Amino acid sequence: MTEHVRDDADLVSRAAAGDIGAFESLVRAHTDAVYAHAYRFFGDASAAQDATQEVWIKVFRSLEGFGSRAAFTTWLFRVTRNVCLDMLRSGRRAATPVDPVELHRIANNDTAGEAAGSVDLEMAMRALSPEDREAFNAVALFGLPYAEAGSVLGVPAGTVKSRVFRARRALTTLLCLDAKGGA
Amino acid sequence: MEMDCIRTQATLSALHDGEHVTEESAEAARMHCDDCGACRAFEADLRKLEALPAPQAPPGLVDRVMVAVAAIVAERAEDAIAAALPLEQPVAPTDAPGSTPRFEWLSGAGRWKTFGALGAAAAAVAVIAILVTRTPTPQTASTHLPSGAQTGALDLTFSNEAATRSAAPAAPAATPAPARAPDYLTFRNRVYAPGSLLSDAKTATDAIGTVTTAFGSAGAPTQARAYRSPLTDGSIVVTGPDGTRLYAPVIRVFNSLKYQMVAGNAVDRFGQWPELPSRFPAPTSPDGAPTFIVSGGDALGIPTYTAAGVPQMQGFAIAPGTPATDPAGSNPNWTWWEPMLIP
Repeated sequence: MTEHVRDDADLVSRAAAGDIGAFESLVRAHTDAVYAHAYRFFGDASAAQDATQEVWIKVFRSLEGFGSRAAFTTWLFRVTRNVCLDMLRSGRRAATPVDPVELHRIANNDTAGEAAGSVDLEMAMRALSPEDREAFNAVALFGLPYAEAGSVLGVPAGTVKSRVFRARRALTTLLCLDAKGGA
Repeated sequence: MEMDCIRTQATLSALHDGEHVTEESAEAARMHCDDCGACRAFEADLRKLEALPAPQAPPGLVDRVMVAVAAIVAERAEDAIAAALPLEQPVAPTDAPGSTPRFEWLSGAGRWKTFGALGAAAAAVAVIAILVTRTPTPQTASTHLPSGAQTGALDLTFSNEAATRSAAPAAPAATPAPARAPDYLTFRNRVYAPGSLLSDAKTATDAIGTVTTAFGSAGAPTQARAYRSPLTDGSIVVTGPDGTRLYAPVIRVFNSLKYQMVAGNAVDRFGQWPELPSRFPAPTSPDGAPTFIVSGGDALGIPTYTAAGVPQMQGFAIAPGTPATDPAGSNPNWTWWEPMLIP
């Protein structure tokens, strides 16, 4: 983790100085996290791709002003969250509603194999409250410590801890991980 | 669930994330798990949950991001150069609205659909562009684009005939520099080399301006219409005496970005070598002095030269004397390169 942070800081510094290759390395290292958060936010691959591109454009335009005030991943999560919220508020994209029938199917363990496991995870993810989901994403996708996640979400670290725990409880219950014996 | 279970599982969740937990809390959780099957199962569930794969960005998304970044760099370059240096007269007039070169993006889902539909064709044309700029080997592949993919006007059937016409004449091995340049033309001062002939081309409606060229004839240069290419590789479509043809940008890669040759002279007939933009006095020394200083190298290892007041990522010069296989060809002049734009 610390090594990643150091690598990121070096890449950010070089990218801000005009090294496009360094910026591409950042993009390659973190695009999956950005995309996954956006996908879970919108429930739609096309919207997630648009959001991902917009996130990186904003990051690129703001590199010089970033400095090293925070870990890059903290900043990236903040930008990602804001881009998704802005796209939603502006009406450019809407979140796909959760299908209760699908949730019922998951809860009844009507799935098969590992491929179904990841699909079900995303379906179950949509059943979480937005607050719990973004706290979980901040920690699980972006690797943020609770305090850092809290600074972005505007809540104390203890609240992040509660939200992440609540998300995990809901996910393990919805996915019936006990019954499946793992995915 | 009992209160102890909730507290224990919250502690286990925090420990799973590498968060600091007091030794007292951690010990209490361990002791609780010894006697509680549900909490032991929860601990196992945390690992199972983590093992489930998160959504992964589709292949090509990073490349698309970097193309968008390249567009920003190009815009910045234009702004910086325009602000720092006196403007020169454009080589070719244009009748298109909004004549400033601009990187254009489709919006929303259509962007991705179009990228997908054109992906294979773009790859094919990229290969063509490489062939045009690097080797005279005839192009043998034929690619058919979905008509109306972007312009709704051009039926683009690539002809195999193209390569024999489009391949840049390579310098004979024994000749130090060819007397004649490839079949270049310029659009908004940027240099293009002929690519595939588009057979069965219908009337195009998405005109983006004109190019001034006599093509291969000895007559006076005339204006020919340039059309937006349905591809996103920076090419344009020009109708000439032999039909409608793709013209690929003459590019080189520096710092992971594509840079296109920019001509300062009117390259208004085939066989003319592009020269430096007039704002750069011709160097009087082989090392670029006093106009340029060597600053690095491009992806091919060719030295790049910077000009005072122009950050290298916004443009650089290449010295004459590059091999015929270089994107600059055997140009006897210094050449200037700026981030590639999609017209």
